[in-house]
Amino acid sequence: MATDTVEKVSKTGKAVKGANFKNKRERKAYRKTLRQVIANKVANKALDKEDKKEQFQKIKLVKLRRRKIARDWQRLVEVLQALASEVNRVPDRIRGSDPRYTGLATALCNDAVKAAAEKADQYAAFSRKDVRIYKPAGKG
Amino acid sequence: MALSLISRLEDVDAFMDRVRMQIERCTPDDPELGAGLAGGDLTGTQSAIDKAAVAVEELDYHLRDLARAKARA
Repeated sequence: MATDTVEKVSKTGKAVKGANFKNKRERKAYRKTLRQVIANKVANKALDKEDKKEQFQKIKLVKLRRRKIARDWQRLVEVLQALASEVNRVPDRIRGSDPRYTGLATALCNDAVKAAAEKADQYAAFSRKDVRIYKPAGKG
Repeated sequence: MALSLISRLEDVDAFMDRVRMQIERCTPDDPELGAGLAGGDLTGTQSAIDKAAVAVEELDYHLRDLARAKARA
């Protein structure tokens, strides 16, 4: 076996392929292709970074909007409370007002305030929760 | 008195519309909000506010009638 190899090598005058380094010209050409691959990988990384940035910006926007909605709910409750207190004072302010009307309006206004306040609390809690972003329906 | 009741009702209507528009505008970017994970079903709240609004309007008409009767007498 050993004698065979020695004979082959002696015939061509060069080492067998893989037993030695390639020459400089070949190595340079190969490195050029590698450089392209690395450039592509770097570009992909940059794109990923951009995507992530966009996603975080989106999350921030969603958070801000949720807090705005919670604030609006709170204001709705305040306005309802103002209405309820105004209705509560009608019998004291206006002499001769029918207690049937005032009683019904008072009860219903208080109910509405209670219901809206409950929902406003739920929205406030929701606005403090973590945001989960789903992929849009169109994209894979 | 009557005028202030109606104007307060209008405030309530304006804020309800504001909340509605906000939720509608945010739904495309925020599927959780659109799915109702925030506050669940709003029909109960809406009907409660509507009932209160009707009662307040009736009270307002009653107060106006009262004022008219007083003016006549």
